Amino acid sequence: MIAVSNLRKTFLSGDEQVQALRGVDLEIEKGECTFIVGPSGSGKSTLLYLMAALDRPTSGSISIDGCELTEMKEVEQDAFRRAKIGFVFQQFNLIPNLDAVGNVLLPFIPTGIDEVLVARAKFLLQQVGLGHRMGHRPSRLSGGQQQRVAIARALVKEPVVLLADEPTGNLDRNGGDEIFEILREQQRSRGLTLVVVTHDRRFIQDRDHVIEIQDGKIATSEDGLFDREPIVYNPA
Amino acid sequence: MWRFAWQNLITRPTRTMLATLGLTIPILAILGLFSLTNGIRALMGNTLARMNGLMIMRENSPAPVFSDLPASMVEDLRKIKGSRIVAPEVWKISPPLEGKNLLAKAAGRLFTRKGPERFSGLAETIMLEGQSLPEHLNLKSGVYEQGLLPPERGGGRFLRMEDIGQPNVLISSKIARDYPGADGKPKKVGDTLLVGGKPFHIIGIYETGSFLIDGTIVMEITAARKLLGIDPETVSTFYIEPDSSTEIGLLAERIRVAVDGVQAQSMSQFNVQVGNIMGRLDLFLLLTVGLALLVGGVGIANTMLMSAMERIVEFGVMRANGWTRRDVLGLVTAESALLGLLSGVFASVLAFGSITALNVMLARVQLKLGLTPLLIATCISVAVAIAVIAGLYPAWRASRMTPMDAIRNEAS
Repeated sequence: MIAVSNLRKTFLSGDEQVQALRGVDLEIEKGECTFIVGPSGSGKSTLLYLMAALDRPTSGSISIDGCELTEMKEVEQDAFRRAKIGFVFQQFNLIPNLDAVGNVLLPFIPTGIDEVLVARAKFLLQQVGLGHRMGHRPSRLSGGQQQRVAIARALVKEPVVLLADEPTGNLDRNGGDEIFEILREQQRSRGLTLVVVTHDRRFIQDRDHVIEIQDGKIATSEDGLFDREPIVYNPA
Repeated sequence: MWRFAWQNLITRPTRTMLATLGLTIPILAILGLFSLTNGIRALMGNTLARMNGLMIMRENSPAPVFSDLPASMVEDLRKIKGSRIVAPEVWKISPPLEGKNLLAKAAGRLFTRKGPERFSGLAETIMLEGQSLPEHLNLKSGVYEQGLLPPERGGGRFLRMEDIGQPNVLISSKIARDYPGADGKPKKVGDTLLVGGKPFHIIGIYETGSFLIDGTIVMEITAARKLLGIDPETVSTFYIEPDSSTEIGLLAERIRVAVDGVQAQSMSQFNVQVGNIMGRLDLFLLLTVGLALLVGGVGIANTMLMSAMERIVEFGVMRANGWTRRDVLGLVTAESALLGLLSGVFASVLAFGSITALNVMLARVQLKLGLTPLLIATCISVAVAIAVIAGLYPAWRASRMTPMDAIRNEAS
């Protein structure tokens, strides 16, 4: 489903080159729930962004659902994102001028919004427990509610892959639990491939696929990480 | 997309209003100034269309009052094939009427009258025309004679041969109103008008509907020469009517070839000349207002740049949700275009209100500012075009970042 091969990403920070990813190889099966964990600055968010075609890698390849992302032109990547990838941010990143329904429909503003899409957006908001807040703007929603809108926005495209970057990072414990409950429920019911970057390992379950990143590489047991944290690595 | 762009604008009302105002003012200035030149064009065209002869003036004279020609030239002009009547005229700016200097009168009105009346004096200059009656009485296009009020309105009569040398004048109904009698009522036929301190008997009152013509006191040429101290051997102009078989342009050409030191202009040519002058005035106004437009455009660019930079993360989120660079470019450009449209519409509404009010004030001088639908449409288009051009750089800035750089912009 998702195949990443020898992925490298180098940033220029001032005059200094920063190697965010130093040759990452991984495979994620369709319908799998995968967690990418690791310390801050390890490159896990960069990996997620590259998987969402939000930037281009310095080298290497990413294939999703049989499509080679890194070989696509920019407009093809845009279309791919619009059709197949849902993305949930830590900061929610809702558009302040739009109400909940408008935010959910954001992906379709350039192409046109019809009644079917509006009905789908409202259904999704009901599914995430915001049926009574559809006309509210982000400023009138709590952090947890905003993140639910963001999840509905990611799902409205009916994607095959849902990527979430620290989706509970700005929420309290209860809010985080609710969001994960929604994410898991949607992943199960839709057969989605869910990839989550998180610091919070309490959401990881035994059957989940966990990838640990350190210093831009996938960590192995030789790095000593597994001794410190009892995580499951590639259970299959 | 347009609805979203509009929402983005109205959520920042102060900034939107200020940017709109910055472009509204120069657009309003364009509408006002071009309405004025349109009005002057229409008035001149309306006036000149009433005369179908040739005006012969000294070469390079801008107007009849600045022209002087030898009276003996009449013989040369009569010999030119195709000229039916050659009518000598003297023209001068009128000396004080009723003992009042015209400038002092205009200033007096400004402070003593109310409403539109206050400004009417500023647009008035009274001319005095002396006509050689043997010729003028045979003209086919005698505007004053044709403009005489009907008898029931007290129009009186036109000049006759017995008026030669007599202090008899025709005045317009406007002059009659502006210089009322002792009872405060407009002057009428039979009353006396003091021109340059000398009494003149009013024999007729005319009204042509053109303030350029209606500001003229008409009298016989020898009486005019005597009043104005003009040499009997001098005239200001000759008014020539062609015979029925001669085209007026051809006659003008013959005169230019046969007589040195004169300009022979048909009224249609004079109209074209006026049009050219107005065209140059339009260009000058456009250059002047262009600077203001530039400032307005810079204001829009600044507003859109600030707005775009503030929303970089939003643009990144849009890109993450499948928006293309072109979509983001389109959104910011649509916002700029809407700012331009708002400016254009505001300016048009303000111009319409102001010009309607001004036209009421200027009704007395028959100058009607011409705010045409074409002018409004052009100005709105110009406003939109300037706003779109001004918004291109901010739009490009907004669209050029990768989604990841844009989203991470918040963190940095």
